[in-house]
Amino acid sequence: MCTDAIETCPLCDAIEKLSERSMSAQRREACHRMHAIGWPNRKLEAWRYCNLKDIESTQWHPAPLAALSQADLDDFAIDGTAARLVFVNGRFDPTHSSLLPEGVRLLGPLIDETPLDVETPFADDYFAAMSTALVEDGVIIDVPAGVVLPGSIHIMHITEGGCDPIAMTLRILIHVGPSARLGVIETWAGHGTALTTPMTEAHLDEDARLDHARLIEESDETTHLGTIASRQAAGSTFESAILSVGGRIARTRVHASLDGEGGHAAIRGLGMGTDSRHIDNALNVMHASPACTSREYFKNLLDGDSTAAFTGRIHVAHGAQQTDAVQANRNLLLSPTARSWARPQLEIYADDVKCTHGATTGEIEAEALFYLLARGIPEATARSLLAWAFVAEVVDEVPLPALRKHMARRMLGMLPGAERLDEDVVSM
Amino acid sequence: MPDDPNTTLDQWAERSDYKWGFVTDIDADTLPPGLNEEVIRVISARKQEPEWLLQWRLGAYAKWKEMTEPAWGNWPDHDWRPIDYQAISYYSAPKRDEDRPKSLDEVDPKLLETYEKLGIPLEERAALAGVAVDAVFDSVSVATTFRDTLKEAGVIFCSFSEAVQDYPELVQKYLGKVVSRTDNFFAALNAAVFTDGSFAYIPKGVRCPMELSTYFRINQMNTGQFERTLIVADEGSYVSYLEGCTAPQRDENQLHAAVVELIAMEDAEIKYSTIQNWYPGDENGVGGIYNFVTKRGLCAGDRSHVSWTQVETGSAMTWKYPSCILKGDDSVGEFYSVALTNNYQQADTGTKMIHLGKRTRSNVVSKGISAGRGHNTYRGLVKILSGAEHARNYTQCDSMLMGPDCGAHTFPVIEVENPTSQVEHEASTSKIGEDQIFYCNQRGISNEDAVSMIVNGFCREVFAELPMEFAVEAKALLSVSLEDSVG
Repeated sequence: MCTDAIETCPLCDAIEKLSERSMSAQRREACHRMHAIGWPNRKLEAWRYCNLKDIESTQWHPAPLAALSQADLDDFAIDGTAARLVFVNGRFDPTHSSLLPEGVRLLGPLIDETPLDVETPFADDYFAAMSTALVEDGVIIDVPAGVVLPGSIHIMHITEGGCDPIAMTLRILIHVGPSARLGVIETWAGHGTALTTPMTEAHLDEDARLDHARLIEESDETTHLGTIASRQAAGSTFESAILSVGGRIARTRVHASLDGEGGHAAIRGLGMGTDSRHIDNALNVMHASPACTSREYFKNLLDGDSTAAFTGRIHVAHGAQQTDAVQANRNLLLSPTARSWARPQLEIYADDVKCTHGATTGEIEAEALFYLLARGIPEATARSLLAWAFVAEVVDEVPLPALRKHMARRMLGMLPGAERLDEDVVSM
Repeated sequence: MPDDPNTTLDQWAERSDYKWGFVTDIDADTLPPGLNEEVIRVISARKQEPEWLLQWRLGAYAKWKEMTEPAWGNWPDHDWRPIDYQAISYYSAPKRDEDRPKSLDEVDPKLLETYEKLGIPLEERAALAGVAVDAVFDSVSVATTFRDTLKEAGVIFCSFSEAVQDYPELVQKYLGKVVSRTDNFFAALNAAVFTDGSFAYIPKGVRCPMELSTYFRINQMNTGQFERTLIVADEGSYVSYLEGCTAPQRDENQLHAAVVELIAMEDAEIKYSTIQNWYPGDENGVGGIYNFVTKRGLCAGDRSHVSWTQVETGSAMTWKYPSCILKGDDSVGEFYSVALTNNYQQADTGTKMIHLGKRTRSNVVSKGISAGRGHNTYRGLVKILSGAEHARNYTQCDSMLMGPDCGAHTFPVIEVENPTSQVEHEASTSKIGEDQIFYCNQRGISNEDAVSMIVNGFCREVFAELPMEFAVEAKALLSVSLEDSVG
């Protein structure tokens, strides 16, 4: 696709033609890097469980402009957020968005002067490079010192696909100043054959707090290959939830770096596998400083032919004493053809640390099911109740109230026979 | 090597950091260093092997030449010296081949002295514990005891070379069935050049009347050891096998690439215990043995049982993953491991549990202790295939760290393809707390004893799986290996 000379890259040409302006050097460089890395295959350890073979030969097109349907807006909107920013096919849609809150700017007009991935830990990632090459728009959030933004900002990306397979992305750059606080929810949803490669980078200053969530509700034809990177100064808190309930492939790569003393990172994940969805989460939590805490909780509920892979790495650097890190991956298999793979890894170079990890895989416990059946609860409902109990543990912990409600509704909608569960019983 | 072996022995024996480091000076018939087809033909010819075995070796060698040397698990601090396969001498045998001893009395007294230095006098051990010892000294076995008792029970226990001569049909039937000759780089190398090892066959319904035991020692300068062990337990039989190693002091890295194959038929049980204490290199990380071993057990029949227990305290670098293929329904695989690294040692060990049969169960307990600049890695796979209904796995790997410069790493892989199975993995990391040491000091227990106590408590679950005399030796080994690491 791309030749050695960056100047004559067909992909770059296509992007330029569509956006009617020339690409910046950093984006051209990213495009070049992407081709240098090459399409990943399953022989690579990082891609061992993620099969991209059937989309390898797909000719991806930069996404054309499109209009958002009211039905989509209703479907994917989350009630109770402070602001909503809507993007369609990688570009901002002002008509369906609220006014930009203070400290929030659009990346689109600033794309050429904004450093896009200066500090990215994903230099070896094909799709991270693709994301930089393709990015046309996004959000820059800068919360000044001590400011606490009320509610949360909902960034909604909707794919409106046509006949051609399209590729698109957004870049979300977040900076939370000292002792400031922010909540951000991302939604990735839409229709049509698409490849989405979102990248979010968060920088947290001392004692800052960011509550973040990425909700993947893509269509069954969409391959979602996203990345999240965070850097934390001393005493800061980063909470993130990755909720994978849609997409043909929903893969998220996270790199959380605890750079300052006493930082806390909690990354939670929930995957709902139906049909042949593949849920893939690859995490790397870097404990670079002493006295930091980190939590990774990932749960997958797998039905149909769905598969889930979890690769978690806790890296405790030399000298990062008093580290407290926990990593857990739990998989509940609901069908005989569902599969799960787990690689919970620890790499420790300091002695005064507390690190634990655990991974379990199994089906619904017969005893628990019997208990409910014996009390006259129909089997489908009983199963859904137990499945709900399994996922609720993750949803309950998401520190964004608006999203919790939305998720509960969404999850219950996906569980067979769950309409019988009183919403009050499971209310968040 | 110095001229006067006795002086050397005494000198070495005085050293506290490796009290079992000494070289026995026996003239050995050694091939010049180098590896090619001719060397393999010579080894095969010296051992008077049948043609099929030579071809088997040559096939492995052809494949090995195309393979690339693995390079994982090399952690910081360790100065990896590449292995020069052409600098290794692939055959070494005690020279007096024609008058090989028929009983203990005929064994070279110098050899017996060596064993005494080890603290495991052959006759005493044999008499007290009822252990049959097929002692492997370098590459040719020189003493076998209790052969008669075993023969009465119908148990075959001999060196691999003898098995090739006396029971060729058994060897041909089972050799390479669990670890194929092209399984991996080091297994292929072993298949091409292995010189000896042990062979055991337990016939149907026989409970082996004693624990089988082999002591390996690396002795010739620049000779890699390529042992091959094959144990077959026929229907309803039981055997417990002990393997222990200590090695003399060396300044150059030596390669040890053994292959162990276990086959358990219906209702059979094999218990395989190892204490590995090859020379770990000095306190600056110079020298030491590279221990790259392939060990695998096949639970071929229903209700068969393979159990691995290992205590790894030696070697500069260990890559070792004793595994179980649970093919028979209701078969059981177990792995219990203690790995200790001090100074610049690196241990990369773990297991693979492959569940194929219905209701198969596996249990993995791994304890890693890192001190000094040592790195300890658990690397394991639990795979439940789609046909393994109601399979069950429990894995626990705990790490203990001593000192700010060591490392403990855990890389498990869990692949589940059957929903009725239950798989659990747990891991934790801890250190010896200053408060624990203080508590012991208060009660008049020295730092060293306190550390030893705490470490032994940490490893208790694994030691419980070892045969009694091995457990005692293991405890002593840990204490010696940890001297001066705390306080």
